[in-house]
Amino acid sequence: MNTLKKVIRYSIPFVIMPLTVWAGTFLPFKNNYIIISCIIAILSILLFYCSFDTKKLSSRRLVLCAVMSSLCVIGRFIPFLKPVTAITVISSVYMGAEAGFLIGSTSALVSNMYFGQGPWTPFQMLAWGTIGFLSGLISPILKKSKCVFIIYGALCGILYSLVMDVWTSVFYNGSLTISLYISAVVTSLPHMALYTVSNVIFGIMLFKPLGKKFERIKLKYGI
Amino acid sequence: MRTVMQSNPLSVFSFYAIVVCITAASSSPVIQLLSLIGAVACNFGYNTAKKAVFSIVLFVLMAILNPLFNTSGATALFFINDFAITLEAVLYGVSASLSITAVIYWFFSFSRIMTGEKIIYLFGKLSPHIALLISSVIRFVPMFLRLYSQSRKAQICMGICKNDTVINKLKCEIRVLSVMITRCTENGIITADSMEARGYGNINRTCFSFYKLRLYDIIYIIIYVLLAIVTVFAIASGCISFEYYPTITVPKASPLMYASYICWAALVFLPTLTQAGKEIKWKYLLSRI
Amino acid sequence: MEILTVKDLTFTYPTSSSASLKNISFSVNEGEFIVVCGRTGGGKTTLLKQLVPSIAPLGNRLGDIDTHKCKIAYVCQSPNEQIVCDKVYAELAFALENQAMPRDQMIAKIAEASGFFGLDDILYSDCDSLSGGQKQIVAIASAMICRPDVLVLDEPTSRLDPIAKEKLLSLIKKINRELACCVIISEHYIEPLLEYADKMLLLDKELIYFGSVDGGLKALSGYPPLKDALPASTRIYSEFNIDCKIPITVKDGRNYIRKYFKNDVKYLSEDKKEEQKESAIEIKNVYFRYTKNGKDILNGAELCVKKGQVFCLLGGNGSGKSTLLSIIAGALRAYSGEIRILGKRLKQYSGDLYKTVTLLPQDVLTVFSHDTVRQELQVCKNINEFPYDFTPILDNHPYDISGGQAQLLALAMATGNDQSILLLDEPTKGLDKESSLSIADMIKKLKESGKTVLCVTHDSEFAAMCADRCALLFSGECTQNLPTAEFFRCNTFYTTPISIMTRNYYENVLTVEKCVEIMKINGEKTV
Repeated sequence: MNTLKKVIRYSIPFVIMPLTVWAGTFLPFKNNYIIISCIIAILSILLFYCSFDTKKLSSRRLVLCAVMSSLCVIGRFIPFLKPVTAITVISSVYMGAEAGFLIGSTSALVSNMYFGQGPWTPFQMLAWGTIGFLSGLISPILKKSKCVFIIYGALCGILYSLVMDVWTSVFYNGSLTISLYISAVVTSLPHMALYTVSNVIFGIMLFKPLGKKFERIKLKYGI
Repeated sequence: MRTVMQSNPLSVFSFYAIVVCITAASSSPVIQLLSLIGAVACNFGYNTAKKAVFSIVLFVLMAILNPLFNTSGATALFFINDFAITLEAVLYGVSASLSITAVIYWFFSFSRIMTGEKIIYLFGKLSPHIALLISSVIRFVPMFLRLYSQSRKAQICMGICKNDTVINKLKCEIRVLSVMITRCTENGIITADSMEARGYGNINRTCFSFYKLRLYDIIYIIIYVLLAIVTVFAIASGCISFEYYPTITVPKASPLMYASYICWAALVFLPTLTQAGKEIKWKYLLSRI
Repeated sequence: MEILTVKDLTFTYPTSSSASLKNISFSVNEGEFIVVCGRTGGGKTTLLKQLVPSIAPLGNRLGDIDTHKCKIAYVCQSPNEQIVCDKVYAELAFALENQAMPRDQMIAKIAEASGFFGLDDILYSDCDSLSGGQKQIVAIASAMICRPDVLVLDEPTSRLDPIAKEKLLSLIKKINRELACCVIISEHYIEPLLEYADKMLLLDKELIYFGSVDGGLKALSGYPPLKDALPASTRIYSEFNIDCKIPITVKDGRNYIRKYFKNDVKYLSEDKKEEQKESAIEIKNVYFRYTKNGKDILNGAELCVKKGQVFCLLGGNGSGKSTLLSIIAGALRAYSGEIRILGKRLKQYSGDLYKTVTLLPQDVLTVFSHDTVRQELQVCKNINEFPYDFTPILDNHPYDISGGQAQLLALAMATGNDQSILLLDEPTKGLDKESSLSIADMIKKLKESGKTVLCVTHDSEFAAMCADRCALLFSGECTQNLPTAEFFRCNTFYTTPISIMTRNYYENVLTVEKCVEIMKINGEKTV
């Protein structure tokens, strides 16, 4: 099992990914991009999962990750305002980049079991996972000031929407044309606004209390 | 013989991966249409009416959208402010929307068939720890949902939260979320202790599942791959591809074309056929009893 | 053979200055059944967790615990939180997965456990869809699956209803009897275990007693802080100095009273209370069902609670008690019938219903959202009016205070806006006797300050202590709506142990205090 993981860990970034891209350019299909991007998304999730240091994933961390992703899933049930990104960001700030990726990607996967799986699932997993991972990486900055945190939250909302629009236009047209992309962006503007507004609102509301709770939990759990 | 959908999750997943990839990649309306029919047949008996409305809207929208962004094509149908709407672009849009609708329909059945257990099995092959994480999230979600409505009710019925104006509603929502977060994180330690007490922490953990990769699952996968190879080969050789611009060119009939159509049809109808076979067999067996 | 030896164990939590366990020494033999007794906060959970090396709390530990390399399994009280996986079979497999056992062996083990614990019907169900009792059985089964030598249970039944309690306890006895697995169990409700147990361990930070059950009962009755935990008949026994076999069951208690005490005086003189005329809650012909084609949960329920009354509604599981409370609190809507609160129809209250009525939920942890008790109490207008002093725990986290204190805190928050009608949903669930008593006291105090209380409960002893009037909810109807004394006298099954013990001997005696009082008045028989 472990050797398999090792093989996956090294072969994906250095062999399989470049190979897919290279082979993709020769593919005779009309819609190369969508397939290649799909495969790359799945591969990068696999890579992330396989390169986790499972030694570090103690029971308490794992449970806390599960709790936070379940809360994200519940958050998607709230009409209009979605606290998913806010919760992911705050928990990755306190639990680290790896946990952030886990929380983001798992909540995307499980919430889609309620809202319907689709070709977007791997992209969503990757997008939310990356948001979590990044926030874990820059956690010292985010922890320091609420202002930066809120700006970051707003940025996350905008970027998430923009990235998902790339995917939408690639999926609909098979390739990325500027005009289609712009129209996709325009049609998803309300969504983008909603994402951003909910990130900001929940960021303001949750940043301090949730942070306090995490501090207490970290002390109590000994993480 | 078990049906396609009853076989091992690994084989079910490879079926969907192959079918969806080819559907999304092919430019042949025949392939797309077959795929759509196969996907709809797969959802037969399940109420997809609501979702169908959505996909029809999407279908029409896409067919309209393409010509607005694409002016290549020789046969102009009409002009809007010197902007040509061409027949080719319209047909291309129809073809593209066919493939997307087919993909969406495949995912309807995918969502239904790929239950939590199967997803956990698949991830368990990769990393038992991730599988455990997913398993506990699946367990927590309904529990937390119930907790959410309970704490909402508690807050309102105790007169702490008011449920009248928008601001009060939002305040209530935030308070309930805060209650949930406290409750869930505080109690997580009990879950963690219960895991530790049962020996969690071994790095070489496995993931148990009642699913087992049996011979027929592997045979299924081989069948998918063989059928797919013929189709992919036909697509790659260009003998079934439609050209839209500047004018529509239909591929010439060739043995490979027919072979690929038959193989593709066999692939996309395999779940329905095995399902039908099972139904007939049951009817036959039951009538004997 | 000894399988567990504890020697001079002293343990201090890192955040606390005084030791939670002091100089504890005892040893456990193979296959023994040990009942651990002690008050809340007396270190029971700490001790039991120390016995399981993988979850021993961090802190300053002196002394020695020798487990003799035996395997120890642990089950705690929360049915919801200790289950990890989504399906029952996955939960059973969890411990085996951690040992990386081959699949075939795992299936065999799961099959065995499923058979022994009777889980075959629910093996493929979602853990979340199970009842609390079933969840606890699953938790025990998944702890037992790796064949431990010792099973440690920390108040496994405290969150369950009486019937599920009995069932679980008999299962635990079966584990000990048929698998010869040593069981160490801490419980509030020890009565059914006493006749079976081999040894008893009394704990109040220090080891008070360790040895046979008879000796344990004697030690318990001589130790006031723990006295409340005893079964009713033993508590009566402990009030008198009669040298005989210690009564444990209701039957024993009944024989004890008849054998040693006279019954010349049958009644205790009671001051007749004036019944208020004005009604606070009035329910007429209420019908309710959850779904259109579902079964009627409430089937023409009628109920009237007078102002300033404490009314207890008893009833079995799923009889619709909590539903009725939700309807009165306006959280659910009856499809037929009339509900009046202080004479005004429920529908006529718009947003101001919760200025009059307040509903305390069964699970009070769904109420707290802040980090300290002080912050939680900010929702109250005037906390000084509440008859309990929170000062010593003001800076604690609401999750770190005891269950009884949490219940009181929630009660204070619920009455924070001076609501005059209180609806309580199982306020003593999961509490030990001592805390139940303090809740009963509090309800009496609230009544004195003019509040009306409608309380739903399983706990007949609690109802006997604080209610003015009781009723039984069955099949969606309220029956037996009688004053408390009469209610318990008329009932055969739904009554207090004391009432059964004294039936046809004394009259209208429901609680231990009253029983002891009347026994003292009558005096001992002269042999």
